[in-house]
Amino acid sequence: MIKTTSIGTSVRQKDGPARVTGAAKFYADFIFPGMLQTRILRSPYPAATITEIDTSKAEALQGVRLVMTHENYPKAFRSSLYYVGDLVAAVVADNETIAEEALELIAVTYEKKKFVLSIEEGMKPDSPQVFEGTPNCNDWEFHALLSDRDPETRLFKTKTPAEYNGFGDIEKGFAEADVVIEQKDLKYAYCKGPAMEPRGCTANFDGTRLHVYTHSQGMHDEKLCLAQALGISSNMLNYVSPFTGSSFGGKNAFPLDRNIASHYLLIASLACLDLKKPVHCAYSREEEMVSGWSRGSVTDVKIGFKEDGTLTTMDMAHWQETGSGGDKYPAKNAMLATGAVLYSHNCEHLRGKIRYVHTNRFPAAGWQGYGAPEGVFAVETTMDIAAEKMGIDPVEIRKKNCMRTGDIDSGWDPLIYKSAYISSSGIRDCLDAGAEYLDWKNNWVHPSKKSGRIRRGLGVAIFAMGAGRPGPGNSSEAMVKIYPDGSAALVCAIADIGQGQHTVQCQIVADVLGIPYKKVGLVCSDTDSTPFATLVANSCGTWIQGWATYEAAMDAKSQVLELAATQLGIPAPALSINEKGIFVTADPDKGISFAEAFGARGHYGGIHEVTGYYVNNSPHPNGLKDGKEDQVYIPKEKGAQFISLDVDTETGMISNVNVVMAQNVGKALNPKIVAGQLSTSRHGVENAILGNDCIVDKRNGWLMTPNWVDYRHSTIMDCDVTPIVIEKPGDPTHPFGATACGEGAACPSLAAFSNAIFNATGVRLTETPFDPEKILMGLGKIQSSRRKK
Amino acid sequence: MKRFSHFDASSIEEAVTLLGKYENSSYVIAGGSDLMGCLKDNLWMEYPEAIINIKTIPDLNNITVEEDGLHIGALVTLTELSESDAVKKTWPGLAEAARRTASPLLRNMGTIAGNICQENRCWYYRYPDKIGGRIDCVRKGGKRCLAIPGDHRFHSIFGAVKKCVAVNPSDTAPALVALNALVKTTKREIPIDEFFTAENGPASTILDRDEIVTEIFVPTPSAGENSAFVKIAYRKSIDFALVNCAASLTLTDGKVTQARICLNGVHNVPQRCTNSEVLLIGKELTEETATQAAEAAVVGAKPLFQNMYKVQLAKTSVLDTLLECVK
Repeated sequence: MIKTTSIGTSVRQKDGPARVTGAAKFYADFIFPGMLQTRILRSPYPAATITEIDTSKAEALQGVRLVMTHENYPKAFRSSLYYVGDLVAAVVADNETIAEEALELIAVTYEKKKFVLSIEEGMKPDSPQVFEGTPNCNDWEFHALLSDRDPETRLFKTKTPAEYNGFGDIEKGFAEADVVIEQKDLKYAYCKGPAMEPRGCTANFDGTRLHVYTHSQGMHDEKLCLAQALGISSNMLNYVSPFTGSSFGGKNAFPLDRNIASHYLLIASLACLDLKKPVHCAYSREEEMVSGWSRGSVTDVKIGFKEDGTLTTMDMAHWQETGSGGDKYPAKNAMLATGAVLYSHNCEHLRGKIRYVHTNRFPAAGWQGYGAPEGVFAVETTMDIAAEKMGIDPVEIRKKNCMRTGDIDSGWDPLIYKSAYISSSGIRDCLDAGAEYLDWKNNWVHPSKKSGRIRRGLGVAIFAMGAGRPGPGNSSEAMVKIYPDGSAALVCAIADIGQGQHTVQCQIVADVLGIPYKKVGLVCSDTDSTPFATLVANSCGTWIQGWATYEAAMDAKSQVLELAATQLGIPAPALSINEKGIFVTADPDKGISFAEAFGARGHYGGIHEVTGYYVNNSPHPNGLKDGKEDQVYIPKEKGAQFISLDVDTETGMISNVNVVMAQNVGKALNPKIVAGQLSTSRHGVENAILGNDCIVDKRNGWLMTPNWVDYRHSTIMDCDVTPIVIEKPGDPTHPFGATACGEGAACPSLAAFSNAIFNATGVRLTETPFDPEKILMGLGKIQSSRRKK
Repeated sequence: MKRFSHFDASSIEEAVTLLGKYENSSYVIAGGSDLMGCLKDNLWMEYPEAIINIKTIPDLNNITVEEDGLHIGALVTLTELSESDAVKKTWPGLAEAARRTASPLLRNMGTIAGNICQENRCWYYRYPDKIGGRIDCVRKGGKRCLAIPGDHRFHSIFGAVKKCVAVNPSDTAPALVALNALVKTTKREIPIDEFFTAENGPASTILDRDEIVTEIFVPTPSAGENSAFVKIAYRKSIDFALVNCAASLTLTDGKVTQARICLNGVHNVPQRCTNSEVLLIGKELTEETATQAAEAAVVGAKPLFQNMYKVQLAKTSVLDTLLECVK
């Protein structure tokens, strides 16, 4: 049993001082002698082909070193353009001003093509194809039908390829249901994540190897991908990323797929390799704004209930926007909100048909929640409508049906495993805690009983979010070094994009070794010095890296104890470690220092460091059910969010927003970091009530909001957030009982907002953002006749 | 950003001389919070050759209260204005308008003169050159307004001026109109009602290219006069108004004897609500009369397809401002 000294306390963040004092080096802080600057020429049209491009005048300009187009750099540029702002050419020059002047000297002839600028248009079979020969609307390919459920274990015994994901008999389910609730066209707007640092990098060639300085969510993944895209050997590339200026999941680079917004890596690297000079390529804010959008979906939901509110059947059809062919994977996460996971407890029949849709808007990327918020919005709004129709309290209908510990997770994990189980739920505890905080029983009043200009409303929504996927490709390694001076270093590549991984992993090392947290350092700045770590995505860092760190520390510790055992003549199991050294557990006065144990004699001889190592090819054996290889526990993120707000019925404006975010985290390894992570639910506020949408000019495809004045991120003045951390012990998937806590906070907000607005006004909004126009129209204050999209 | 020459002017005369020297290819910079955005986005047809800094001119940053009224130097920042005890006490509508402008950082930089001279925020007009090239809209000499057939959810609800449906974005402008201010320049004194125009090219004012605002004068309120400002915006900080409104009312023996009401964010220029003013004179200000005045303020509104809601916001903001005046 490990004594937790550091874990469970809010130790100071490992990289906090560097970040707040400005000492932290982000990619833009790496400046090299003779470094060249890059500016990019971008498409004025949403769909076009470059028929002619003349760069001779630009090349002739004094100070221009290289002009890159699809003709000389087909790896980075294409002759086909898919959105306004798509990359046409790049100029590498002595400075930015020259590069900008040179852009104006590039003569391009475009052949304009037809385009599609909304997901609804893209869903139509006859819409102009974004990628010629490929339909805009595509089925998500992992379709499986599960059947023959064992009544004892509740496991599905048969898996059949199908046109949709699901189980049971959907027709029978609805035929037998007492109440069927159906909502169509629930729409979550295409949105832009709030990362402060725009995309970019600096590439530097040292004569034999290429060093790329950039932001990262997973240095090793991105490095391997970049090496392959450049066509160079992986051992030639060092990916350097000591600090990332926030990402929220949206800046994961994947340069092999040129639909994904990571061209800066290709441009800087290719130019650097050819010119043998350092090359900097960073996007301006405007360029960043046309790179990497998220959310964006249309969903139909149909749910069948028994008379008492028991959910038995669910049908979902979901369309996810990818913009011009960006990240399509968020589409699958919509299923998390269905009977596959969130409502797995009672759901007997499920169908989920998922599609992704190309448009000529900006390429899609991830964002905290990664598809789950869209599914949750649709399902949890529909659940609220169901509660209203059946006269059941919105909290109670969820408590009755939500997933519980040990339920079968039939999301996409069963496609790899025979079965997956929810390692711990706690949603009902979260619902109770939030309801108690807001005194729901007394304060939730039906909208029909409300009057006056300002009306208060309460809303609730629950969520489940994926937390890594155990299995091939999702592994992490760690090295833990112990030095003769009694300090330790964790060597790993886990990215800290604001969620606190660097701190929490060091806390694990400190407690496993039995030394103070401040004695644990972190080596995590580039791929050369670190072993592989999982991409920080899918909220899996604490879990997948956590086991690697824990086991590597255990390995190092046992080696040190063996060394001391030899010196002391006492068997290792009888020894312990503390700040001073190694001591006899039963007789703490008897012991030796680390230096003595290592037999260190200055520079000559002895052992200079002890290294522990572990690779966690997830799932870790502890995460298997009954030790069976094909049955795993999944630490889904889960919880409940309550929102209270005021609606001004004369203006449709919303104020006094309090977001109460309750989440079961198993064990809060660092309570302040966990509370901070729950507070990221404030980003739901901007998607809900700050009018944000991917607003493009419908005739030209221009993004009307290419800056942070017109595209609004919430400030601390726009809402209060009350995090409620629930710790239900016993989650088997983590050495200290933690479950995931990363993306959950983003998932339930929009449904909770829609439900709270309904509770305040009786107006049901099923399309985000919830702007004054929609609310005033719902209230009958303005007519809808002149409204045109 | 492209290259330009930068001059620190040591006197108003020097600044005017430099403006004359560079004729139509120069701009004055003070806080720079509007100008820098325009330069970075390279949104004008012609990039200026010279930028003339007037922050280096002494004595333009004083707030002075004299018997006749409030004298605000052109370089007074919005923070200084919003935090001045004298302004808060005697001209609360103006102090509140300055306080609700932008964010603390921008208020520390931005000046009162810059705030009333700022260019419009129409997203077609402001479209940057970095993602496909700037848009040459009607305000910049192009053939047509792109917002009318395009996206105009934040545009004018009172029609176009010279085909343009951009709105004036200033928060302090309606407050100064309501308070009947006078704008003093290097050439003349301009009553605030005549200061704003959409017919002078891209500019938002009638100022000549070589003319600089030096002071803004706000008369001392008469007995029983009070002012207020109300802003409706998405965010509580930073955002430009969807609609804002300022009013000054004089009440004598419980009856309205003087009223100046101004909406902004609804038209090319700040919109005096003269119908509402006339309607209130001689009446008590009650919820009922205020509502009638609010209705009158939007008579003649010509909303576009997407901005019907702004009529409702404008109406409500007039109501709220009037009630705030007598709170």
